[in-house]
Amino acid sequence: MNDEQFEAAIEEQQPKYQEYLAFVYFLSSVFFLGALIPFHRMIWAGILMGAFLALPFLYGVHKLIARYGTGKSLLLLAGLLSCGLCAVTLYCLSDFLAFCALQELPVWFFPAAFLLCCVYGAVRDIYVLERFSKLCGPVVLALLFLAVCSGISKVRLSLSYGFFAWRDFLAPSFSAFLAGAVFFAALFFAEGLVLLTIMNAKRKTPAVFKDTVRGFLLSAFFLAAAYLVTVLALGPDVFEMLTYPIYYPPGLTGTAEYLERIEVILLAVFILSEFVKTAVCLLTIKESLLAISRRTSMQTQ
Amino acid sequence: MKSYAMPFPEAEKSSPGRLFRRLTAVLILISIPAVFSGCAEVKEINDMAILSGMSVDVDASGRWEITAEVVNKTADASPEETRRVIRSNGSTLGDALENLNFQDSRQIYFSHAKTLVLSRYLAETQGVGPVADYVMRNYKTRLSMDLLVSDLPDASAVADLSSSSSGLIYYDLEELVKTDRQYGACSPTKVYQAVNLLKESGADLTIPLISQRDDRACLAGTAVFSGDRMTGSLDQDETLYLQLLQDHLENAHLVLPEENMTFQVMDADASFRPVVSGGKPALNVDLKLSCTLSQAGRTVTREDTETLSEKLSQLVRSRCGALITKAQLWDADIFGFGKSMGGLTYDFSTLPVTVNCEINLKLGEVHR
Repeated sequence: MNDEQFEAAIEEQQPKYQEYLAFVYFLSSVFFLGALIPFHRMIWAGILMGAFLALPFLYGVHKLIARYGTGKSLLLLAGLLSCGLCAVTLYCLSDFLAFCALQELPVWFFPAAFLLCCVYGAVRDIYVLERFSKLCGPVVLALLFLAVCSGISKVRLSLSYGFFAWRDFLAPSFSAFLAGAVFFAALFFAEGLVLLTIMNAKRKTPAVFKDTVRGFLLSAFFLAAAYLVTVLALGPDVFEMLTYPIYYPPGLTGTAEYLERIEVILLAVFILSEFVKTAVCLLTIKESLLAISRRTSMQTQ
Repeated sequence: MKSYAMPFPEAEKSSPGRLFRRLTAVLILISIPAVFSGCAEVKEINDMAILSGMSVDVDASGRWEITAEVVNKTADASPEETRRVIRSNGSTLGDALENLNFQDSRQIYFSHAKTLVLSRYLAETQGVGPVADYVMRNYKTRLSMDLLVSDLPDASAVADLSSSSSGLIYYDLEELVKTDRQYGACSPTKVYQAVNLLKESGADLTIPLISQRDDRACLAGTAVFSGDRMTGSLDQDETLYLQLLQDHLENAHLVLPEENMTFQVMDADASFRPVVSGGKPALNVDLKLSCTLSQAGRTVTREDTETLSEKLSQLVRSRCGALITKAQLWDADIFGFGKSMGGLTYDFSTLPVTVNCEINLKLGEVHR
């Protein structure tokens, strides 16, 4: 078997689930950030605009990788970005759990256990995470869709008249919308750079960019829809007062005790997504450290 | 440039079985923290004092009093034992609510509370603001609680009323509000909705008013707020027209007493059109109602449709006009006219309002 046949055989064995991985990976980008930044009523438009602004930059990264490969500089940059993303993720997750869910546990307990799981996922391989995303991706999508529908049923437009009026709603928020768009473009670009780098470093198929973008856009669309529905259901003022607003609309269901607690299921969606993202980031850190150590050992020799 | 891509790991060794085992291991590991956290924080339901709702009073000296109903749904509890009323007080609302914890040996669990009843005195003097603010700031209480204003001397008197179904008066109140809404008798307001109305300009707040009939709770109309203070109240009939103007009416009946006829409202739509008349802003209210004759005291033919439609239209216009005049006296824009005025500068209490009503009357059967 020559090299080309070997490469082809390897590609043949690769799971083709990049879009699932990208979808789950990008989904947790916003929810837990409530601990760090105040959410504005125009956040949904900021997410959408940010996603489209990030696309050309991600395409640039893709072209760069296609031309020069995943060189050590790119791996190092991805590793550094991963460190930042992991730190922010763990901080925000700890804050959310300590604040809203598990007040009586030590604040480090759940994040520590969560990190252990992510380390386990990372020391295996990207393929394991892909298959995991293939398993939970459709479930996550269905749950998110359910949550969005549940939110739609709570919308009372009379509470959101201001939403449609330029004077009351859009005009004072325009700068916030622009700031949100730039912020989310930067965030999506950083996350996308990490994902594209690690995918290419792991010799994924040439379709990696197309698949990643497909998963990413689906994720951004659902996030924007979920936040728009939340603004309409809670009303823009209440939305801005809450740290984790998207958590609330499913809990407004008053028809059955069980449905009233559906917010916990929505939370599971974001925790699963956080798991995938953190594991991918840890994997990237591992790869960048390996790249450094290889260079150091070559210099020593 | 040299690529640092790692060789494909274990490509030849890996098999679906191995990958599946890994995935299973990851799933189990993810579930472990959840299981552990449940064990660390586990609480038996009987170890918690679950509240079904509460009443809030404030006296003339500014002392707050909370009256709450605790659910006691153990298997061996008799119907009389399914509820227990606890009371606490404090110098602020937060203080009084925290003091509730000392009234029961178990931990007080607020998250299942469905109804929050405010006394009329509290609504008139302190307003809804402090209560809404507390609920918004505290995760232990739910934003979806129904707000009610008590027309009884004290809000605490609600806890002494008899339950009609569940054995728990505050759960009954939630059911009462839901049911009466279907008949146009009340427009429920939840805490988060109240907060939005208080924060935004162009619309004022309304909250259902409860009273008692014999020893049971019943709805007695609507409390009207200007800003966050209660300034007046509407009776049941006015509440129906309020909902019509708020575009919330889903189902109701209208009566023409002189004709001995009852009409079922099948669909209702309200829209507001700001106009400038003589250089001054004014508002046209356009109402469209689809009605069906549900009871007639005499024989009605198709030729009567136009006459009856006109009489119904006149009834709706006069009732809505009277209601708008009343709200203008209280300076309470409970219809949300301000949301439709665009950039026009206006004074709600003197705003000229014209009500137009179009009735689509059918003489067929009622399907509700």
